[in-house]
Amino acid sequence: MDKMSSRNFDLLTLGQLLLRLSPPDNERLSRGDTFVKQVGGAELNVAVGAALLGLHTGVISKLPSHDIGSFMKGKIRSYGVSDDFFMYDNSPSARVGIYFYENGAYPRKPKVIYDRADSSFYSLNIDEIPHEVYAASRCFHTTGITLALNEQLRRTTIEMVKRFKAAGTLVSFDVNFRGNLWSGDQAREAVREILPYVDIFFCSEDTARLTFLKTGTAREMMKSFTQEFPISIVASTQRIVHSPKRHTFGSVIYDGARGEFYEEEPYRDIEVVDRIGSGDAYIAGALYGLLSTGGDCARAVAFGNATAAVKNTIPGDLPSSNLDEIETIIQAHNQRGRQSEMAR
Amino acid sequence: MAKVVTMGEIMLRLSTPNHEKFIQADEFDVNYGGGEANVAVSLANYGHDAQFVTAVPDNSIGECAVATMRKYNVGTKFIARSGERLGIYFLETGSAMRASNVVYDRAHSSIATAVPDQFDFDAIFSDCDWFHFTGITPAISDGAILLTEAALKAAKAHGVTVSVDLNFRKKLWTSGKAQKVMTGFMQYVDVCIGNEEDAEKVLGFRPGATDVTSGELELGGYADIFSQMADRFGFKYIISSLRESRSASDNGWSACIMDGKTREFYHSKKYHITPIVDRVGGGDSFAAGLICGLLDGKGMREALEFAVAASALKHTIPGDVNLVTRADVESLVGGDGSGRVQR
Repeated sequence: MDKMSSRNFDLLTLGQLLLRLSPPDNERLSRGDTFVKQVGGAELNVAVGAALLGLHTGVISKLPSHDIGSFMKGKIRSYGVSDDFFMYDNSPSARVGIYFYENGAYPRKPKVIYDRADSSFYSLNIDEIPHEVYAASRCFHTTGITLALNEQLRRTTIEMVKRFKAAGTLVSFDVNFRGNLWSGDQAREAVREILPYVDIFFCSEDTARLTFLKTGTAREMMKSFTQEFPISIVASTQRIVHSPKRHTFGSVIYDGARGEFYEEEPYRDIEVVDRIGSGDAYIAGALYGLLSTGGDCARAVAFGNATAAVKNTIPGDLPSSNLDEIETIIQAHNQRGRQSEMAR
Repeated sequence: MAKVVTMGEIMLRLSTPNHEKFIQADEFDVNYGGGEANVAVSLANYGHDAQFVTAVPDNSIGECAVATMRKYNVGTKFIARSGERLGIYFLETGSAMRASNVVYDRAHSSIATAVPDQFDFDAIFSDCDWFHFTGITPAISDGAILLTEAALKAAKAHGVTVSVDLNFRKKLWTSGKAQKVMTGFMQYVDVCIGNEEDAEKVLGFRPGATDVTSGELELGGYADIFSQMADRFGFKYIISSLRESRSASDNGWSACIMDGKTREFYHSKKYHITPIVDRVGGGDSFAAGLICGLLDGKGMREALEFAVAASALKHTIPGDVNLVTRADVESLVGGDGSGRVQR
């Protein structure tokens, strides 16, 4: 652990940084006279959420060196996330990945138009990533989205996972299956290639069943991943959608070494403002719980659930809760009896 | 009223509000525009039957672009739905000594990947009076070169008058490639519009000793170059706008024209435009004014004065397109540049 404590970062994530363009409030894309400009991306969300809780985090990514790339870099720095491991694309065709996002309200579904093909991140090559990155952090996290984007990124990501693991870095991976990016068969094949190197594995019950063709109860499926691969911890979130504006959120974490499951009372009847990014917020909370305690899965469940639950109430992709807020929410969640209706 | 067709790319323009820098702004103003689309809008405003030919993706963003053309009375029936994305350009509007800044994100756009077979050029050019294109379109992609060539051949076969705005874009192609491609297209062109930089970079002509950053003009050089261009390509008219850039907010604005046959040369009245509100689309509004003047049967001097006045007015309007009427332009040509409220 001495070697670990000398590492500069607690968490580095790898992923695409997307420019999110959305009409204000509940306006339609087709009528928007202005687009709010934000920065998003699953792996960025995790780095931001964890940074807010107090971890030193950074994102490994690639941006155009032009002014729109600089805007995104500045925005990310404003969240306290490091840009030390940004690569830059100087080519004339350099472009940022974009997604256009329109809010939904029942029965109108939220709508996303991706415009990310041929973006600078897609050309990320293993040879341009500085060697010091692999031993710079206690933990490395990426998702199936990065694996799914193209063949080049798949190869780069798999090689990076191997190098992080070889350098003694904890490897965290979220399947985050997206049917619009690849098929279940492609996902299974690529993810199985990296599972031998993964320490902390995030996989929903649906994905275990449909993508990995697992059978049995949720707990049996989680356990089977640790039997098949040298995975230490498997986390699975459970969301019940009562209506688009009312969700119940909880999770189970399996500690393979102890052979124990950890679970708590879920957050019931969350008043949902924006659910986008709540899965990423969960990972930010769970990794904070694990990294701040030396692997306490009960803390991981508590921080993961609270960070995800409160993210559902915050507009935009990014978590926006510091440690004080999350600890207050955890305390209230565990408290029985009278509760104050306002924080003052 | 005449039937005019323009063909090119329409892009999503994302500009920062209130002259903000990209890194400051929390939102973008959303507009849709492009050189040839802007010309079509201007001509529709003057009452002409303008059709815009392009390809847009089959999604909300593509439909917004089409809806914008419809809003400005431009015909959209020849717009194809194909490809993956609408080109984007990010714009930070300058002020005074700070120049405007454009970041293009237009590779792999629907028009860049379109093929000639998607367009029924015989239908597009039947009963058509005028076809206008710019040097931007063939700069987009090799496919767009083929598209431009197919359109030019069809336009000629239908006896349509063709105008070009040479419009060199150094971010899209090199001067060498521009000259190779555009020189071949000049056989189809009747009316050639371009400034000093375009004539040099696109066709290889170099006017006297004009420095675009110095704000000085040497008209003798233009007459000489225009004459050479008329000799080589047999243009009916050769025209250049003349921008004297004192700062991003303060420009002198005039133009000159030559009759390719008689070699008569004319320099327009000069406007002192300050403060400039938005100069993007200034050249397009100039081309549209000139086309309108010539279509209306004006002599070259009157057509040029109409074009210069129209484009001077464009500099006062935010966005890409020139939203002025024929009466607005005539009033300025007539000498009323006072800016007094019209009532």
